[in-house]
Amino acid sequence: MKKASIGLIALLLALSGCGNKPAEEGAPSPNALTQTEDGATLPAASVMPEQTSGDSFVFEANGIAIPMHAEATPILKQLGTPQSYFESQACAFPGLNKIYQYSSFDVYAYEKDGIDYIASVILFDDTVATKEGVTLFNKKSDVIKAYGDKFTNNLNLYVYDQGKSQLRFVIENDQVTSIEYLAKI
Amino acid sequence: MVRKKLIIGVVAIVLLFGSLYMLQRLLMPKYVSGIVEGSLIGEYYKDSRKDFDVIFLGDCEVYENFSPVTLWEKYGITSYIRGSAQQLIWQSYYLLEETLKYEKPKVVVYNVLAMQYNEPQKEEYNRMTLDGMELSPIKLKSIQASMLRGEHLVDYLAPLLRFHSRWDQLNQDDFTNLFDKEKLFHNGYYMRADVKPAGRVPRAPRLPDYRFGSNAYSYLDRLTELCKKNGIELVLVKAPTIYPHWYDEWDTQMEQYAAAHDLTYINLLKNMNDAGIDLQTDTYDAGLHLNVYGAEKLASYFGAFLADTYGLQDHRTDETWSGIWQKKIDFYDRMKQDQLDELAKYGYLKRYKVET
Repeated sequence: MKKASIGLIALLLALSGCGNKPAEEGAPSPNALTQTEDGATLPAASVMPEQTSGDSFVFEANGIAIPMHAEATPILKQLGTPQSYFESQACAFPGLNKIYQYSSFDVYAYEKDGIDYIASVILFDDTVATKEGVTLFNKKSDVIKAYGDKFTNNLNLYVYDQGKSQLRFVIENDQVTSIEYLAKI
Repeated sequence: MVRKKLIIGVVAIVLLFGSLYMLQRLLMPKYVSGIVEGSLIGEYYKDSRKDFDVIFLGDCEVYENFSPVTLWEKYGITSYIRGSAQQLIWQSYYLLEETLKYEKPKVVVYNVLAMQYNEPQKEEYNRMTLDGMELSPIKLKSIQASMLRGEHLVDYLAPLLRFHSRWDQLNQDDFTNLFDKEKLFHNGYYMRADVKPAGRVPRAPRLPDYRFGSNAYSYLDRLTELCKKNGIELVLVKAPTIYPHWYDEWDTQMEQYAAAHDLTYINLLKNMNDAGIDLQTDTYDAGLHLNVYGAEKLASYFGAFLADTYGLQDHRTDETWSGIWQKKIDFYDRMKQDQLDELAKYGYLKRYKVET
C-alpha cells in the first residue's frame, strides 16, 4: 500500500507539471494570427518578434523599410494614413489581425503582448517592386536573376526563405502574378 | 491475508484512476468564458431529445450565422448546429457519422468554407472539435484524420497528458465547472448581440492554386454518400459573410460539384438582399460573422427554403416539442436581453466575450 501511495503521489506530481513547463504547453491560447480562416499566410504564435530585419526579407516603400516581424507602429507612422484599415479577430482566439491598405500594397500586422508586429506585405500592382527590383508581371527568369534558384516550388508558388521570413511569388504562364513578404514560423 | 492484499490492491487502483480522472477534469480547459467555442461540440449530448429535422455542419459560418430558435419560431423546424471553430471537412463528416448514432435528420446543411483546407491546420482548433466529442470509434477516426505531424493519438484520448502543465493557469471556472458546464449555446448557435458595421474588406490575395484539395473532396464525397445512404438531403451553403474572401473559382467548383452530384448549393452571399441582411447592423465583427439580428434574418430566409423545398413538418402544434422549444426560447431571450444590458452598461460584452 505504501509503495502504491508513493507511486500515485509521484505520478500525480509528474503529471501536474512540477518540472519546467515548455512555452507551447498549457491551454490553447495561441496568437490569433496563426488562426486566420481565410487561408492567408500569416505568422505563427511561436515567432519571436525581436527577430527582425537582420535575418529576414525587407520590403521598401518610398524609402521606408518594412522588415518582417519588426514592430509595426513606427513603420506605419512613417507610411502615413492608409487608404483603409481592417481588423479581424480569428474565430475563438484572442488578438486581432490588422490590415492596412495602401495604394499598391497591403501591410498585415499581428499582435503579441499588446504590441503590433509586421506579419506580411502583399504587393498589388507593378508600381512597387521588391528591394531587388522584381515587380508584378515580371518573368520567372527575372525572379531567378534577382533571387537565385534556391527556391521551393509547389505548383505556381515559388518560395524563397531568409531567416524568419519568406518571399513568395505566384508565377503563372511565366508571369509574376503575386508577390508576398511573409513573417514565418 | 491474500484477500486483504487484493482489497488493498483494488482500492489503490481505484484511487489511482479516480485521481487521474479528477485531475484530467480539473486541468482540461473549460471554455465557459472568453473563448467559449470549445464547448460547442460537447453541448449536443446534453440535449434530451435529438430527433432534429435539420443538422448544420461546419465552422463559425454555421454556428454564428443561423439561429435555430428563429427556424422554430417561424417555421416549426427543429434544428441543431454541430459546428465548431475551423471545423475541417473530415471533422464534419465524422460528426455526422456520430450524429447518426443518435438521430436521422431529414436535411443536413454543410457550409463549404472549410473546403479550402486539405490537411490538418492547428492543434488548438482540433481540440475544440475533438475534445468535446464523446469517446467512440468515430472519434478515434476523426482524431486520426485531424492530427498534425508530431501529434499522438494518446494525447487526444488522455488529454491529461496534453494539459498536465495547465495547473498554474487554473481559475475559478475550472473548479465551478469541474463536473458540469453551464449551458452557453442555443442548439449549437453562438449568440452575439453587439454590432460592428462592415467597412471595406481587404483585397483578396492571388492564390497559387484555386483548386480544392483531393482530401477535402474525398470527404465531401463521403459526406454526400453518407447522406444518400441514409436518405438525407444534403444542402451545401456558403454563409453570407464577406471576409475571409470566398473566391469565384471556389464558388464555381462548388456549383459544379453540386450539379454533378445532384445536390443543392446556395451561395448565400448572393442572397443577402433577399434575406434583408445589412452588414451595417447585422454583423458584430465587420462582416466576418453575423450577430443575432443577422442570424435571425438568415434563418428566416433560409428556413422558408428548407420548409418549401423539403416539406419539413411544422412541429409547433406538437405539445412535446413546443414545451422543449419554449424553454430554449426563454433561455435565448434571456441571453439576448442580458447581452443588451451588458452593452448598455459597459459598451461591450463583458461576460460573454473578452473586450475587443
